[in-house]
Amino acid sequence: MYTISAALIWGYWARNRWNLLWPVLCANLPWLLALFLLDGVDISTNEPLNISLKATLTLAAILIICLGVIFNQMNITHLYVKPISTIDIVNFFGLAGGVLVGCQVVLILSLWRWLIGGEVPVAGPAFFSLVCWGALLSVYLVPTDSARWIIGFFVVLFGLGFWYFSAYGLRIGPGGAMAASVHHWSTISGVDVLVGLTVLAVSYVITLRRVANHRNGIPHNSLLKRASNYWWRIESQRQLPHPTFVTPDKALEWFDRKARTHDNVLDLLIFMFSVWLIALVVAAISSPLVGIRFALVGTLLIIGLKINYFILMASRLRGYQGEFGRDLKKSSTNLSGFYTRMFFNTLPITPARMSSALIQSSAKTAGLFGCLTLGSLFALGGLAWLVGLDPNDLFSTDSVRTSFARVSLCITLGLMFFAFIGINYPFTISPTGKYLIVEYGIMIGAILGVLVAPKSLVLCTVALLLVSLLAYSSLHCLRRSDQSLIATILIWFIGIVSVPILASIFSRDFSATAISIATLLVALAMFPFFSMPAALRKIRTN
Amino acid sequence: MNKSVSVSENCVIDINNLSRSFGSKCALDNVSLRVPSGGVFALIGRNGAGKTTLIKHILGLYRAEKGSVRVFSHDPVSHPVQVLSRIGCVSEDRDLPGWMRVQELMHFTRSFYPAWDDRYAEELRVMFDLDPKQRVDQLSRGQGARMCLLLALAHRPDLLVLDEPSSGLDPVVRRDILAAIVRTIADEGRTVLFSSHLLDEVERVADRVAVIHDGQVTLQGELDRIQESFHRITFRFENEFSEAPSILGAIENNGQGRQWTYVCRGDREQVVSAARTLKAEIVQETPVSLDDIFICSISHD
Amino acid sequence: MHIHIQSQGGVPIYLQVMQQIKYLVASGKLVPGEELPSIRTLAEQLLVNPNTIARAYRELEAAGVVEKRRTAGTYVAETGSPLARKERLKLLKERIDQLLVESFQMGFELDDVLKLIQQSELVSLNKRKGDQDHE
Repeated sequence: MYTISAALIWGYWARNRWNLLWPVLCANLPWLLALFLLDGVDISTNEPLNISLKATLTLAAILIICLGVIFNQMNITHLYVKPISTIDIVNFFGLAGGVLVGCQVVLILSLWRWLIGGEVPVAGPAFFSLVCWGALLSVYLVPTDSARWIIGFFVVLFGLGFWYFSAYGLRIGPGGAMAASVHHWSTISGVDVLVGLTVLAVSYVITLRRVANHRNGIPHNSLLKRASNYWWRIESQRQLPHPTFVTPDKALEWFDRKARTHDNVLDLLIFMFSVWLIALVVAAISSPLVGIRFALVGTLLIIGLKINYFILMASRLRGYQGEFGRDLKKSSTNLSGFYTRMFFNTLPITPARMSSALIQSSAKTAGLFGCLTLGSLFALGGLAWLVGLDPNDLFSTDSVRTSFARVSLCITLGLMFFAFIGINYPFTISPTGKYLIVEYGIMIGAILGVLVAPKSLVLCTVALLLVSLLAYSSLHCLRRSDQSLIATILIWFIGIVSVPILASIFSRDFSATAISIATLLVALAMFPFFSMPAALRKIRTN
Repeated sequence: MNKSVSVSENCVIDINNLSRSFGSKCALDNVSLRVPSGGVFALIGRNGAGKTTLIKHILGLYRAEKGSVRVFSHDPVSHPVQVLSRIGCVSEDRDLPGWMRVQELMHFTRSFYPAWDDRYAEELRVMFDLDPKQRVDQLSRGQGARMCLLLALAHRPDLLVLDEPSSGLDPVVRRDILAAIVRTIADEGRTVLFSSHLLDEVERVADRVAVIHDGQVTLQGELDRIQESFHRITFRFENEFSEAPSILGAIENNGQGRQWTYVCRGDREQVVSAARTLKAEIVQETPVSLDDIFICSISHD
Repeated sequence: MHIHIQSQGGVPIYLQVMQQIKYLVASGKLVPGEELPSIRTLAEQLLVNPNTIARAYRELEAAGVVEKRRTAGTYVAETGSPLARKERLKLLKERIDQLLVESFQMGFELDDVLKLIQQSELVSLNKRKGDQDHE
């Protein structure tokens, strides 16, 4: 078959095969995290809070899948010089991506339905995901260098989010939304279809126009583009601050923060500010409690998405060709990071020092996110208290009482660990930088294990496995003198001590689950200290 | 007794019996190379002959499967800092972080090399006409090459390694690169190693060359001696021949009818006397260009 | 000092440099006592290895065309030196050899060549006279 579409589809398959798998796994992470952090709370009931939790997690999963597919698309400019019309190009990207997104969403939600039990709507969210995909495509298909994409993403996200949540009955009405109107999105109403198709149609037209303009080289001359040009001109004229680095470690740490871990939180703050503004409106319409809850969920969602975003960027998901089982070097040549390039590999610095610089920068960024999260959570809690509410009501449901401080701390710690582990994941993935199959095996084994065995058993096993891998990695590291004996002992000491502390924060009683989770998190966080030098060495020398 | 020691002490790069394969493809086959200090050493070969692989071994980016690689008497894989801090390298793909500005990149790189000379770096920047506030990914190809060159030269490395430095560049930038090479070795004790298939550049600046073909070194030595050892002689025969009369010692032949041209290496007298027995006289004797030497050495070994 | 190097022509570069300097000296464009550029300067100007220039200078010195002074630099030797004259004769002889080979290949005899030389001399003599008259 030599048709154009057959060729394009083959190309997608040949290049991106394993990317079809990864977003599916990744999209499950927020849910897994939530499940574990809730520690035994049954979320299969039809309580409003459970429903809104499921709705939020589903939305997050949909967004992750959409972004995953977007980032793994082929570069559209390759098609411009081929004998294919613009309409066909847009159709190809839209349909191929849409099919991927739809299939993955259905797969994940069916999986959840099987695992969680209770009701998990599939059809509604699947339809929504297609609409979401179409809308995001209109913003992302064509690269743009103006700030419009941020605004576009924002508009799309909030507009669609609004529709999404109202389909679950999470409408803002007088007296609060936690009323009887909250339900699962089990049926797709006529209104839904109308809204969805309208959004799709509008997105299609916009996408066509943008691709046509891009293909013909017509630049946007938007106000935003002019503003950003002006800003660039001013910026290039002002005196550059001279970052003088005393040591190579500081230089690398600075570089890493700018390039990989992204310590830039300006966009986060803008989004959060907008969410809080909207929360204000929500509070005015219904009740302060609802408003504050809205702000909470929105803030956490945004921070979580931002962390996911740069983990996606920094990790192997970006352009990952899925060299299943091959050496780290082979697959790492597809990392979007800079550390595989010749420039870095010929810098005179030992892998051990480079590793410590990278860890420092990721720790700083994780700390930054942690502070931001905790700060906003406590600000909201304080706000609630000022308005006369009991902060502990914010995270509680009718059946479960939780302490606001404890849940906030849990969430913050969870996000911090998630950020730190996620950023360093590409370098941590195997104990000695040699075999990828280890962590694939563990992950898939864990997921399968959850199906057959009680959660706590699976967790314990995985935690023990990780600890032994960590020990092996530490020994290997000591043998290569990448870490001194004192440093190793110190790191292990801190790790061991923090496990019970974390476990006590996660649950009131020292349940096996809590301890396993704490061990897991701590072990994963300790891994980079020992395996990153080996990984960097492996990347440099083949 | 101590002569061999002093030879290797003077060597900046000492490669012995290096072999390397990638899967089933043999990239380097029993390569031995010695780069003495204070000269320009050129690696010439076709695309895919193994030049870049060899250079990556020198930089410690590949581990020697068989044989050994010593740079400044250290193994570049196990002692990356000692070796790399004295090397400046310019690779074919200019892998610089695009989002940085020129000045930031200079500051960044500076912290890794204790021998970095600020004044010299600034001099180079002005000479190469690089705007300090410009982003690296907005530099043109030639300017990007100049940037790489600046970063490699500014710490006055003892060894300058260039992998196909002129590929895809316009003649103006190529002159800059050649000038950098010339200036580097004009300073005492510094060495340049570069790989190229642009033979006119090699002929201008190289002291020693090594020809690599299919992973093997087919020719190695001082460029002058090599050029002097090749001869191209045109003979006029009494009789006409449809095919070149075979003459022992001749590597290549060309011509028609009565006039035939032979290229030989070293055995000039043998070739001339063999031709005389076939009743031919010398019409012309021309020097052999490096192009021809290269083609000869890769097709007859 | 204008020197043009042609790489890939088969003629070694040091030889090209030598020949051109010799020609410049012989034709008077470089006068005796004039300083030649330093090895490094000439190398950077021509973009060739300084060792090549050094070799050219060495051999020119051996041939007596230039001389190295201990303080600094290389200078053109005085024409009175017998070695210099020998070099100039050698240069001339090369030209004559070339002329003779070509003329014999074209089928001319020695007498024809000599006659042509005398005719050319007359023409150039008249031309010089004419220029002098105009002044």
